[in-house]
Amino acid sequence: MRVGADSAVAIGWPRARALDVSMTRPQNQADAPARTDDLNEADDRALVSAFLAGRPEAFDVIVGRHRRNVYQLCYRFVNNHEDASDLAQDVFVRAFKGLRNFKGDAALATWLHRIGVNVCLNRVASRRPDTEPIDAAPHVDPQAPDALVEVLREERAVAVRAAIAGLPPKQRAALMLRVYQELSHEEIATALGSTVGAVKANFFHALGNLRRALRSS
Amino acid sequence: MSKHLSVEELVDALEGTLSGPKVAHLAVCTSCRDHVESLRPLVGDVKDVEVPEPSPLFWDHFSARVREAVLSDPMPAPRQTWLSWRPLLTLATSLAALVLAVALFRPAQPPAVDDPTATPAANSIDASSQPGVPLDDMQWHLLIDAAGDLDWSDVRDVAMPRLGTADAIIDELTAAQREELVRLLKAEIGAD
Repeated sequence: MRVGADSAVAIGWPRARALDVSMTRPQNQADAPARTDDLNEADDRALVSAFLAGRPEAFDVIVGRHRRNVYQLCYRFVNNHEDASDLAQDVFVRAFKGLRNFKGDAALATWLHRIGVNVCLNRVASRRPDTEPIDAAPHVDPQAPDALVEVLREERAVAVRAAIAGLPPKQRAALMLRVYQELSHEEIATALGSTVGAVKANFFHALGNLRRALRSS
Repeated sequence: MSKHLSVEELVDALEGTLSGPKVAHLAVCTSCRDHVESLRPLVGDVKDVEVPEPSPLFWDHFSARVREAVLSDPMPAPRQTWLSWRPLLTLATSLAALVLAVALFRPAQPPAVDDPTATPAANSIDASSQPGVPLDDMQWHLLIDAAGDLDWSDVRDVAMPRLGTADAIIDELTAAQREELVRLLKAEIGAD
């Protein structure tokens, strides 16, 4: 799984908020980094420990590290930047509130995916996903070499996006987490609160439905 | 020929993780193999769909937005369970028993001669407000019994209450109970 390498500048957390966070401190904080400089080098588990030990700036690093993956996951559900950024923000706000309940059984990235999928599925359930308009495809210079190939590739991408947008939510989630986020079936089952068998079935049926949709288009 | 591959096994075959006797089946079954091969290019098509990369400025803006949203959205209070109320409940019950015991077992006072409308209860309250009136043995026994039901963890929790716990208890007392509590506390510390 690819994890974004972005780092975040840890500024702007008022003292009062730090105290809010410190009230959630668990018993064992031995693995929390001691200094702010260490946070960017710390692994996810240590960042969570630092956050729960009353250092909210650790959450900035978590956001910086995972924001691209979370944004991309959300974008693939809604197919537009504005909604994707709103949903990604919602994912991190929920993560902030729920981090005290993060047990560390799964990777932090998997936990964030789980929140992301739930947020996106709720969104999809309340509103049909936007399909990409024809003119939303990137402009291709007709004079450029391989312009025809590029046009065909873009047309195919638009058709695939539309076909994915038409999948049932659980099939879409299984397909996205497997192909784009490269989670194992076990990790997807954890993220979706499902079983490995159900995840594989959803993945299989997603591909079958995609094939039918692309043939008809 | 053995049974065709299940949905899960077709996925395993697609991803190259099929194992056991099913591998041999896939090698000889054209139907299963065609099924798997028809799905393979679809995975490639899906992978080819890229998410447009936002402006580099977006990411810093995004982090700031998240921080702002988190700061403006109050942190939920830790969930209260009935267990967390247990010490409070025990203390409240003990206090209520204490107040009731004091009210019930105080020696009855005859109504004042110069006030024929006064009730015995009202006079009892009046009498109990006099400082320095000692508790009789029965009242002490009741108090000891009530305290005897408290275990150490309850006492510790009550002795180190969360902010506002004492205020909440006092708020729940009636005016007469509060007056009685003040009197008892004053009697205990020897204040006038």
